[in-house]
Amino acid sequence: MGAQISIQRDVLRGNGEWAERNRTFLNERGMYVMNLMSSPGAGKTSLLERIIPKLRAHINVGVIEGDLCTTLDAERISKLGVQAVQINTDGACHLDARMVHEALQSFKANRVDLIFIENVGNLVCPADFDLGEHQRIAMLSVTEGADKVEKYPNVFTYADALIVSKIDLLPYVSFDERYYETEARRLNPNSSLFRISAVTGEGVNEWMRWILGIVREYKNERGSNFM
Amino acid sequence: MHEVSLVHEIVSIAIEVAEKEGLSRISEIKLLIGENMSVLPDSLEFAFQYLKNGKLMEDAVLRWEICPGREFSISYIEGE
Repeated sequence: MGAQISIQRDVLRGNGEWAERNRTFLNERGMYVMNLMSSPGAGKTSLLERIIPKLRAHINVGVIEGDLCTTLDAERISKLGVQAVQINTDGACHLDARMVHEALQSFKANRVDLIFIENVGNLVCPADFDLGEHQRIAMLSVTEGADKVEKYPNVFTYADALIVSKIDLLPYVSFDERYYETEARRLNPNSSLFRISAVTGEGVNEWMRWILGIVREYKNERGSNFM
Repeated sequence: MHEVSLVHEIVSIAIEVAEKEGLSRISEIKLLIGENMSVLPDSLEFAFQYLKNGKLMEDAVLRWEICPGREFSISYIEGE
């Protein structure tokens, strides 16, 4: 006769524990982390290339790059003169909190105010993994189509800000902005919405002011000198 | 899409519990899967066939119940 042993245990608890470790690590050092998620090719790296030079006038920025293979993105970011750490997942479809914990060790305390994590390009899996980040940002490019919010709801539902990228291409594609906004608001009424083109720079200043406001508030709460 | 890493965790937890409870065979692992998790039960089962741990789990089956929200947990393990 077999026995039934009740467990009631979260399968992702291991990841959750690493995420908590990351949060403690970051808060002790006054580093704010934003986890940037989108499908491959939505323009995450291009957006970082646009925003980082502007942010650097105010704060110190670092980047963790997640990709299956290569250090191409970290090389692009390093050219901006900021610290970039590449994680290669060797096939895994998302970053997990333990990988990020290792990458965080490269950043020296009091040298970085804000770290962007550029997650593996994927609209599905990254949404399930808490990395210990302070904010999640989900991005959708206009070439992908407005229906992706409804079709891949998790990444957009559990984000603090939603960005539509490549808006310079709007005249050439049938991206229904009203439909996008309705869906975004239905799933996630409290998120901040941004429209950006990394090519023309439209919307970049608005996003920058939002980022600086959040990082300023975080620093002030900790009594750090800032700006 | 990341079912293999999830099954890896499930198998590790099952081994740990079996050792602690003195089980030599596991017959069933019961999961609770939130409908908002990006987890496909069929893919879990497929991965489980390859990742299950030798004799301890050779006859083990995965069962699951779908629930609202973002739960993803092991409810219980059956064995002897």
